[in-house]
Amino acid sequence: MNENDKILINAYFDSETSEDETRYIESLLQSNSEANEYANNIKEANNEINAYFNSPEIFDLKTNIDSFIEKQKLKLSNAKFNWGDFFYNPRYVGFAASAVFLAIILVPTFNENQSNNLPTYSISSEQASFLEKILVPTFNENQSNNLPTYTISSERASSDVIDFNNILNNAVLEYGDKSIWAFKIKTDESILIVQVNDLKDDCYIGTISREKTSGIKEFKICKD
Amino acid sequence: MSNFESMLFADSLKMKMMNLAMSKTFNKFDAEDLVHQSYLKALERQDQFKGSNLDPWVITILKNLFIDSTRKSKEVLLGDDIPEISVNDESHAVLLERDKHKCLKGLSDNEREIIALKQTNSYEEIAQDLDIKSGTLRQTFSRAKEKFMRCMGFFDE
Repeated sequence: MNENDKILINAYFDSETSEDETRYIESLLQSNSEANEYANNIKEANNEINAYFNSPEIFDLKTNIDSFIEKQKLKLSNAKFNWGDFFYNPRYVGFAASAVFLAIILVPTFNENQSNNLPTYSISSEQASFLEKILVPTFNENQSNNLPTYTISSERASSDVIDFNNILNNAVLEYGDKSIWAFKIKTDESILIVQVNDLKDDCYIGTISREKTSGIKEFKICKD
Repeated sequence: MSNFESMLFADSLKMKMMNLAMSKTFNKFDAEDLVHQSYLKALERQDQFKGSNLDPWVITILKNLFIDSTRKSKEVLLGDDIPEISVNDESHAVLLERDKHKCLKGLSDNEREIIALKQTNSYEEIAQDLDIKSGTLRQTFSRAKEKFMRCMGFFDE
């Protein structure tokens, strides 16, 4: 068995050989034990590699990327909003009329001093969900500028291996004790934004993201 | 959706990006981040795309983004330090998984890219995406597989 045979055996198991090559490899596998053993190893290697690329981890990744793509598609379709369609679509006109109506009622009375004494105004669930979409708090860059910052010392940051788990644990536990639920972890190279969303059974559950990027990771850190 | 967006969000390209990202980062968190960044960069630079086959262009973006991220030598890479497998767990499956990671990491970037793309594509498509000749691809792929098999201890030496 020569180098070319090895290449052909590999291609054969990927169904990438021509008819002539297939015939040649099949006869080689029947007549040559070394080639046969090599073929078995190729099959085993293929199984291991396929298992890696079809693991539950990859399935999770696919789900998350699918949801990211859906969000991007939605963003793109919103960005291409057509005012012409808007004025000819009765549904949009209805929403706009509701928005104007709510704005007339709510906007003039909305300042901090007055808000404590505001009377309760009942609205339908449809209107409420419309308002929720408008008023939902967003975690934007301006807000992140005001967050407390957990800075990793330059000495620690310059060491070759940074045990990020420990840093995150310490920061979450330290700030959690002070009831600070959002903060930044700053190194010389990057800024990470930590948001604790829940405290359940002495465990902090939240998310961590890099500033100015869209990737979000979840964490669960327990007190003991 | 524009023609560019339809091509960008096609399932086939998504699978390529996902497998490539996993073959480079070896954890789903960084892989996800890398794929997201690649999509965003492609959208941002869509005016610069000239041609009919989007896949090689997006793959180049992904590869460059990965190189940029690894250049920052001291950057804290999330996920790298959050092992999903307990260090004390020495079961056969765990050891095998570790060996597999180690052996895939031992391959060159080019070899890993070919192995990742082969999961969903033919040799011809891979040759196009990576801009290499199909003969070279066959040879590189076969050598990569052999390197992997040696590392995994498939051969008695």
